[in-house]
Amino acid sequence: MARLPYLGAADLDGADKDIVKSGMNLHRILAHSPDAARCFSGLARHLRFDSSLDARLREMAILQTVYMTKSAYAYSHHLQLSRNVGVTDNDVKAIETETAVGDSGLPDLDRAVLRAAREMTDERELADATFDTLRAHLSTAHVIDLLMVIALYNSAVRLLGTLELDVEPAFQTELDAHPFAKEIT
Amino acid sequence: MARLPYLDEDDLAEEDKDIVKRPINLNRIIAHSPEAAHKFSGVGGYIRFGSSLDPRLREMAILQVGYLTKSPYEYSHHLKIGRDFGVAESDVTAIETETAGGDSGLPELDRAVLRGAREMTEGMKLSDDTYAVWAEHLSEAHIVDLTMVIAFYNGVVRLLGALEIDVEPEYAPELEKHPLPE
Repeated sequence: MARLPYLGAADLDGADKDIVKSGMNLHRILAHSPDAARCFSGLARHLRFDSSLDARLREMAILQTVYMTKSAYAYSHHLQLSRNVGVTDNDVKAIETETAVGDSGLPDLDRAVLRAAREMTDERELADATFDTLRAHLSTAHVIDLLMVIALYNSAVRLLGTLELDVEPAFQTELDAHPFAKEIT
Repeated sequence: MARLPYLDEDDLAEEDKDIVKRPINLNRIIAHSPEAAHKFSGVGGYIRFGSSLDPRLREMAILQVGYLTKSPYEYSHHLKIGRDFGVAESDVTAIETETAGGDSGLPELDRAVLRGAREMTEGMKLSDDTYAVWAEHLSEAHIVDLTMVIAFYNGVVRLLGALEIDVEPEYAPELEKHPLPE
């Protein structure tokens, strides 16, 4: 169980009920601090729905970040979300391969996006070669959006882990289909 | 030099000039994606001005993240900002002491905030002992806010590092007074 009680619409003032509209456990916990919930979701929603960054690349970066940090909640949710924007089972396998330092055979840019997520997560910086590949393919605005996505999900996994959010049953099947490799540390 | 050019008001559309109203280098870089900059600053602004979490504790948590991750930009800025919100010289020394595994002599909650920031930064979660101290002293809203502060700044230090954002000359003296660990 999570460290704070999950809130529902009935627990919230009229203007705050929209926070839990999705019914997701993350929103039901953040709702304890309604304005915090709003600004955090505002940033996440912008990066997910409004940014013109390629949606598949964005989800690849998110999946890589939450796979290597073993965030069951974030990984299960984004396995599902990412399928709707073109991430294939083959891409999910590629992330497992690249995390284990293999060559997935994905194109240069895809591999650089995954490498950027790993470098930023582990080292908090980017190798020159990684940045140069991103910059060769992406506009400055998309570079910012991509790096901000990776930064934000490094925040999200800590929020999820600290408050011990439970994976909803509807998402548990995703984890059963794509378990974390034992050797990720 | 940073990995992208720093932008100024003249480079931005009328409705985006507010992003660099506070012309710190972080804002001048994220302005390359104006809407992302607005939303990102929305979180930062809530943390600094919207939340009713004790501002000194908030700044202690932010400083602990910056010190532990050796982020010159984050740490230098918050040494200065922290002072405005009641962080004393002895608090900065306490962060150094606690990071090295010592007992700073700070009150239980202060120490649990610093420990929580270290645990979340390194292990992405919080021990039961640390959480128990938070829960004893903080409301549910403040627990969410403190967690978000530490989580958000773990994102901030990565954005700063990835884009190689430079410490501005006016913040550099902070680091000379309080160097980061080797």
